[in-house]
Amino acid sequence: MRKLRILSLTVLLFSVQLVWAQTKTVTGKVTELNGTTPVPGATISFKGRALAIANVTGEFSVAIPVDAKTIQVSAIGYNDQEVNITGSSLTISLSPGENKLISEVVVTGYSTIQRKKFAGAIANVSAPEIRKQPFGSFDQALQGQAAGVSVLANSGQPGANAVVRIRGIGSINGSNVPLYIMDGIEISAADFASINQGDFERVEILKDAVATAMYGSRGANGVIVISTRKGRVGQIQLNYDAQIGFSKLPEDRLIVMNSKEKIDYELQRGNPYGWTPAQADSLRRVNFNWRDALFQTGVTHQHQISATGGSTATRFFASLSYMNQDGIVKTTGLKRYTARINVDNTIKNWRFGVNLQGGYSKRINTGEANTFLSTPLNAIRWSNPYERDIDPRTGDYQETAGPNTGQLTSGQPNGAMELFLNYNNNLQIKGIATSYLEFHFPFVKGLYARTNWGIDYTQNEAAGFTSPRTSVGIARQGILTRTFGRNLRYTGTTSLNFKRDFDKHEIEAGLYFEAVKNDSRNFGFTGYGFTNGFTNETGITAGSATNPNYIPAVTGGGTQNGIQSYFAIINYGYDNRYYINLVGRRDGSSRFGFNNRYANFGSVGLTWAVTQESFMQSINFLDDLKLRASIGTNGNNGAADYPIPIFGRVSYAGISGWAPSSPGNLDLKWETNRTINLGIDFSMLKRRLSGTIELYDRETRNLFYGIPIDNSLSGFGSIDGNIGKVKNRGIEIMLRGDVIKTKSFRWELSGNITYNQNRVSQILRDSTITGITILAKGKPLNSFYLVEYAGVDPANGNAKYVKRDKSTTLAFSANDKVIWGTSDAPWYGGISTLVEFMGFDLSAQVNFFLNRELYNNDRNNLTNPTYFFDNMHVEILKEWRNPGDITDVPRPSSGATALGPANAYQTQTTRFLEDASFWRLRNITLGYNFPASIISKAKIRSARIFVQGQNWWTATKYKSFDPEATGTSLVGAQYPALVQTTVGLSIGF
Amino acid sequence: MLKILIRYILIGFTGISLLFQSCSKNDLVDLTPEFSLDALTNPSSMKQVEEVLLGAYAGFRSANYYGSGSGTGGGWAMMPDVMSDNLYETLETLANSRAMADWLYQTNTGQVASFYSSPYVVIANANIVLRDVDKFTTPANQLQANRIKGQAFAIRALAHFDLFRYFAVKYDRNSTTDLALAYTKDFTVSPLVKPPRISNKEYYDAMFADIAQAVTLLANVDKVINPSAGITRPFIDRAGAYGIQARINLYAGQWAEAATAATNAINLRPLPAINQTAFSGMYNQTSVGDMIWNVQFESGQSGPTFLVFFATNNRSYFRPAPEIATVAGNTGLIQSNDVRYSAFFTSIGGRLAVTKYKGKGTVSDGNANFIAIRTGEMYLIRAEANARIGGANEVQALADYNALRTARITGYVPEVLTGTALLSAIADERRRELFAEGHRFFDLKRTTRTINRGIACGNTALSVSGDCTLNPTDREWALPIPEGVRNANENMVQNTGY
Repeated sequence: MRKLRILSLTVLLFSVQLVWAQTKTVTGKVTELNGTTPVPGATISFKGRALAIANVTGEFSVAIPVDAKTIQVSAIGYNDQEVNITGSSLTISLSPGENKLISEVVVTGYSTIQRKKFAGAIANVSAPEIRKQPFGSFDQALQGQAAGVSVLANSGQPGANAVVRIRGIGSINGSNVPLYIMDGIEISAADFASINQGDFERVEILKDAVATAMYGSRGANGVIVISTRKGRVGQIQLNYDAQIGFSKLPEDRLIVMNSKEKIDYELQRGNPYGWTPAQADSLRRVNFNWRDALFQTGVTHQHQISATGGSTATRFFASLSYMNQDGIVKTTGLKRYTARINVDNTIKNWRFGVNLQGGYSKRINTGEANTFLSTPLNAIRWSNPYERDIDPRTGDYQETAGPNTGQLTSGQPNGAMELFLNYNNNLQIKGIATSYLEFHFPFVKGLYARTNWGIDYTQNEAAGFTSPRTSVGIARQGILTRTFGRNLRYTGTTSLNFKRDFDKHEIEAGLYFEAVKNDSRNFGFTGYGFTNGFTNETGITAGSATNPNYIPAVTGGGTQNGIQSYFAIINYGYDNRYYINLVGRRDGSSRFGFNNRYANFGSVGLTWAVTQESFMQSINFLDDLKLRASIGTNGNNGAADYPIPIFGRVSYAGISGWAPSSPGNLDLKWETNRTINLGIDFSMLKRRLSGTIELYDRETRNLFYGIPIDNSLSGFGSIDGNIGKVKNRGIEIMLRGDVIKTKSFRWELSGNITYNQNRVSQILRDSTITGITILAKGKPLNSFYLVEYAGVDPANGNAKYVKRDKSTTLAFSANDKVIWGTSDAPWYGGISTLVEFMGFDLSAQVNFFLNRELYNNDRNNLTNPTYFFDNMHVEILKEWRNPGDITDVPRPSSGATALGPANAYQTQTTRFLEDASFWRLRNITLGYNFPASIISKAKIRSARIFVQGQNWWTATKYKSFDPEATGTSLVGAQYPALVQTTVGLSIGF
Repeated sequence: MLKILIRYILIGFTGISLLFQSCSKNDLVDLTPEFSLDALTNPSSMKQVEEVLLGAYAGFRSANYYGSGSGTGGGWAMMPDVMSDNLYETLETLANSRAMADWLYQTNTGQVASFYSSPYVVIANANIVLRDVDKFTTPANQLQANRIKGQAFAIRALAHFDLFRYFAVKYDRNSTTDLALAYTKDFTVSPLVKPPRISNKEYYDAMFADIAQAVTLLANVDKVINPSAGITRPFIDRAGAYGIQARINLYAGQWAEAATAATNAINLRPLPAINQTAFSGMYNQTSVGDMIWNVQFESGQSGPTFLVFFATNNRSYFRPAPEIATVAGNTGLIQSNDVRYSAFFTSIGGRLAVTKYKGKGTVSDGNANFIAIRTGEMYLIRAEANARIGGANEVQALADYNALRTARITGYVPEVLTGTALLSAIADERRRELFAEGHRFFDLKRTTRTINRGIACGNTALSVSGDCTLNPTDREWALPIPEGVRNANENMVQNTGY
């Protein structure tokens, strides 16, 4: 019964039409800059109300009030244009661009909504910016592109992902990784080496509760929504894009001793290797540069062919790409091949489409971010400069510790052997497939059903070989570890939607059901005994009881998790001025205790388009002003997969057994975020200046937290639970302005800045110390907790420390630790500029992260006087030697002397805490677009050449290759971000 | 063509809609692990109870118990030697255990927390076994139950004893004021339970009760626990239980009981007359030697060596003090005419390294067993107990002392000693026999309570170590209760001085 009633109501409303009293008809054609290629689908609006869509040939016809002077034209992928009505037929050329803040549509993954009707906080990242940057993992290209989004590379290994955090860190024990959605389905985060960003059409970052509400169950850490390129109506267009370039090592700010300095230092410390004067003299002159021996200038190649075209019924986009990027450490690099086809169809009341992408990548890596002696990236710092990679007398690797040791005199493994004789490969196959089907009910206008299903399949196969010649491999005559893992996730969303405008009302509503399930499996083996010369599986000698050293090890495992969600979305607009967005949902996750698997989330957003008010009509300088407010909750299920207590398999003396591996918690529940967001969007001076300001307050509640328990009860030191609150509050400002805009010259400036204040507001036990950081109420997460270093006592060379009462002491005590800054920059952003003139364009982007501190463990390991058997930081040359020496490097000995008490080397002091703020020229590009008049003769539609540089310049005080490191400490073995230069070419046919 | 395609796509979507129907709560939300055992309903058979007992043994293999990390761990393997005067820290050290070696530990020292937690992991397994074994015991499997229960009791006693050795300030048997730790007899997972430290007396009572149960139960079992023909003895059998009983009695100063328990152990595992090969074979798994219980490290499961000697690349973080042994082999406590010399040491690059646990057979990969209890120790316990009883018992003490030395030293001529000379000779012999087997720090703690590191300490050409003396009143004789434990359980009273 109820169904019938709704039907009759909608039929009634449908008959009401929207009309102006007196209208005139304007026709025209929308084209690209060349004046010929049509832009189908461009929206023609008047005073913010969309009136018509350009057809396949770019033509349109609209009825507007008689006294109208201008109309607005907008299209995805182009800059908006305000067009003066001169006559009744117009020709409108749109310039390409993406950086629009107000009048665009927003893709939230499930639906597309006009931005001005949406209260959510959303940042739109320019897809061309991401497409052009030659990163093996596209998330690296997000840096500085959007306010509220902190992107830090932790590694320069080709294909390595970045660490992306949206609006601060909310979780202590749970995941802080944003959710990545591609074409409506979840894809694995931080695993993008096999995805080609050249296929991206749009990237939006959803930040507040309303924006992420559709992902409520997983959206607590923000959502990054990627839409791949859709086919465009029209004749088939072919594009070829290529880049070729090279990458280099950045400037090193952590300087080690040269041969003479090191030998002299050793002699002064007691000559541990017993060099004779003649040996010392000869070694002083060696000055071997380990950095040059292991680093290289890497070459990058990238090619992509893509095609798009179609009719109003069927459109397609297809692409093939190849990328080959050498790393700056020899042997390392990434090779990637991808293919994609996207097809969209509209037939009568049906719409359906399929997007398929397949990617294959091969990454050759080297160990990083560790403190192992055998890691080549540590060897470049630690190897003594008087040692060499190759013994010049034999031409073989130098093993000064003795034949067949793989080591140098000090016991430091020869880094060249570790790098060149070992290998570490990762092969990945990734398939992402999504499909949708949409049915528009013929008898009810605006009612449609949609189902969207997709899979993200990832298969990783790795091979790690340690040569029997290297120090690590000798004991078991080589080690080969092979692993195989696969991960399959499917996401299915089915909805019933309704969308209608009537009179002054606009309504859009949807009921959704969603299923997400993840299933992963892995296995592997490790074999030994490489005695026959082979370095693959053929080399393995199977062990036996008499030769247990060669018994191979096998592993395997797997896990699953799933989410089930029901939700409803209602968007309502009144008179183009007032909008409300409502979302309510219920989610269940397999990761929580039986009693708490389901939780409810919801959000509400309000938007007021101020400039639509009649009293604003007289204010001419303001083109648009919109105020937004939202509040809502969403959840984080980034916990371990199973909440029940479990036994893990162990074995003892060749017999299988069980030992408790997780205490479980049947009451574990969702970590929730409550976000309040206030936003202002404006554009003024004929849209020459536009911007967005957001204020937010994000509170994470029921934090995943390991509740400490006395180990004596169960052997476990903590139980996963939900306790505490963390607040992230901040302001985000995004501005874009055309400083100069004439027909032939344009200078655009844009920038974004974020201030995020992170505070622990409730915690089980205040001031919980973990190593060098502390979890304290009222302080940010990752706050450093160290004793202040106060230099050296000139009388005895002892290190001095500042006590809690500000007096100095020679006695280090952990009780004198105090709270310092945090490693998560509260201030960050990016500034970019673009100049276009006569077909040339020059753009640059500078990113910054400020007020950030980072413990330098790499420097600590070069400073520790115990490690003087290996090379050391040049600062050690200033070491205290005699009474009266004024220096800040204490004496190396730790015992008490006649002059002073014991002087044990202390690491947990501010001596190694450094300012890790930095400014970086992230990208600079000079390009030229050939004019249509020249290239059309060669039957070329468009042609562009450009040259770009990445990370050319960095300003920082941090003593390392690169201040761009994540976590609280630069552990060691840093693989720095590449300094790249590439030349590119894009041709369209 | 297109129409046919559309039809197939439609059929496909119909299929997907059906799938949508099947995406029920069972598939998405009510998931259970496929690669681990649900502990809510298991162990559910006697077989599984026995498998949990193996989990306890596996816990002994932890890097912080009898295993080792990279220059760390080995809490009851070689760390007590590192913390004493047996070893000195070399110039090659990576200083990963500096806080332990130089007695710099504080309440937040990571290794202290690991030494606290590792034995409780073992105890947790033993407690699960003891909780569930009776549920599955029938008259038919009573002897199997005895075998499982007996080992669980012995393991629980031993792990508690090991905790006691580090964390108790004093070892006095009957003190009701000195605090031991919590003696855990139930497996509990709850943040609300906060056990207090109990007195030494209660703690000793609990240990003796457990080990007595073990001795009784292990007398009547369904099958031999360690095959006599084997070259390994990976499980605690009745001889092992007596060994633990002897050890605890020695610390308790119950000399007669210590001697009796040692005798019982010796009767089950007499001291064999063994040559060099047979003695060294204990450590490289080629001979059973005089061991009573070894912690078994299978291929790929690492071993006890990496705290002191990095077997895979011959790096020595610690070396034997010159007072123990030298390259020349003619000075120090262990000289080259002693089977222990070449079983324990190798000269590598002209310097002596502790190669006792370098690997099995002739391999140097660090995969070796830890010999936790052996007959040699039983001789020394009995000798010390009898010497302390004094009087007529000194004869038996001297006999044991000479018997052991005869078995170890080529051309040994029995000595005649009495009184303090005898006691001091037995102490030296303990230092020799049990070198790098996890006893020295505790032996000093229960006897002289003074450490004076030898000539290597402070010699910058040999050692980076700066701290050479530990005095009787120093707080460092007991490890502090770790910060994390006190955060969870405020009833854990901190040791004096921390």
